[in-house]
Amino acid sequence: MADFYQKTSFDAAIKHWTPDIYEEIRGIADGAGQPFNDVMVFSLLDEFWVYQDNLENHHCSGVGVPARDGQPGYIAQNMDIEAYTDGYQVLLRIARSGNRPEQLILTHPGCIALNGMNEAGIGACMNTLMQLKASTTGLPVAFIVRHMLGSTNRDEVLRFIQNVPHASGQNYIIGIRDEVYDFEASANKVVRFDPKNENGTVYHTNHPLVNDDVKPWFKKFDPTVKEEEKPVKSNSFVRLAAVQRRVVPSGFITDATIMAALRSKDDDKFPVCVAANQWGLTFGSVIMTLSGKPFLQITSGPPDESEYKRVEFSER
Amino acid sequence: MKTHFHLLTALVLCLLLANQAFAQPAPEAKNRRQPIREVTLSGTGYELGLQHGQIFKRKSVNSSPSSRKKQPKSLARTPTR
Repeated sequence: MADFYQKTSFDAAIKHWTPDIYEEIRGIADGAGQPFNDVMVFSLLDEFWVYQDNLENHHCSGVGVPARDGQPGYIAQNMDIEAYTDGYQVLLRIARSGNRPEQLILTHPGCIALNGMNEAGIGACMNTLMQLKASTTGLPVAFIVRHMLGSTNRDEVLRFIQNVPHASGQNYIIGIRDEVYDFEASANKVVRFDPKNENGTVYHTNHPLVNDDVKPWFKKFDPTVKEEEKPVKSNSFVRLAAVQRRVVPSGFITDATIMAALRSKDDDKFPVCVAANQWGLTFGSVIMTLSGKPFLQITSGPPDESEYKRVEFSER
Repeated sequence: MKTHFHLLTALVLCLLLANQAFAQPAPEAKNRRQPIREVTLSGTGYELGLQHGQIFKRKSVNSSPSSRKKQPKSLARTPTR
């Protein structure tokens, strides 16, 4: 871990863009009685993976569905992380205070956020894009999502995601009430992914689809390379095809359609829904309904192992 | 009349047995896990952290990334989301 901290320097960006959340990390360290850096690293999950440069076992599958024909807007995700986190699933409810809206955040103790939504109908789901160029001085993804969830302003969120310096390559599926956006962010650019589907859906796994700011050693994942040269049989490509197959032809998408996609195991080797195994699991599955009166549906662990629990925001 | 009743009963039983034999296997058992634990945090940034840290202390100080070094190699591999 000392080597990781020696090679990275996120503190300045965190203090500049999200000073309150820097203080929150200090609070976690004090509350846990643990050294600050040992606690901070829990909120630098993706940046730690980028440091390790481990492309093996990429996971996490996300979907975004804008509101259409009286149906609400959704964003949803299977959050796939390391096996050691299983059993520590927590849903944080951050109480509203001043301008800060109430927030529901999936995480594990020590980490400030994996994904989440707020009572104003703003939500965000992220997928690591390890192949994209990273920055050792950018703002880490957990801080980016927490900043967005602290906002109720659509334009501010969209401006922020496109202008903040990104520490790690990420795909952001952002739901803002009836609207859905998808951005692939790297150290040098942020590119919107809009597949122009008739039903407006977006979807993502763990390889870039539009951003070509790719590390030289991951060139085969550059979205501009010829189709026949792409690793289409790799984990991320297989899961993307499965999600795409399930949501694109569905003209009328409900939460049941999304649940079925997130519970799917169309491919034995690379399923969307990952049972616990030696390297990891679907830590939690979320479906955020963002239109009207927003609410969350969530499972602890893979979504085929329990029913989704509906969680509402508190009354004002 | 009695014969008709017996024939009808036998027919219904046969249909029920056939239905059982060709029924789809039950879907995978659900609710093998508890619902997710919910925790409410309130206050300023530092106060949110302090409450979070107390949970962290109780629940998972032993799962820190540095403790992964103590895990068998196969468990220490790190997938990404």
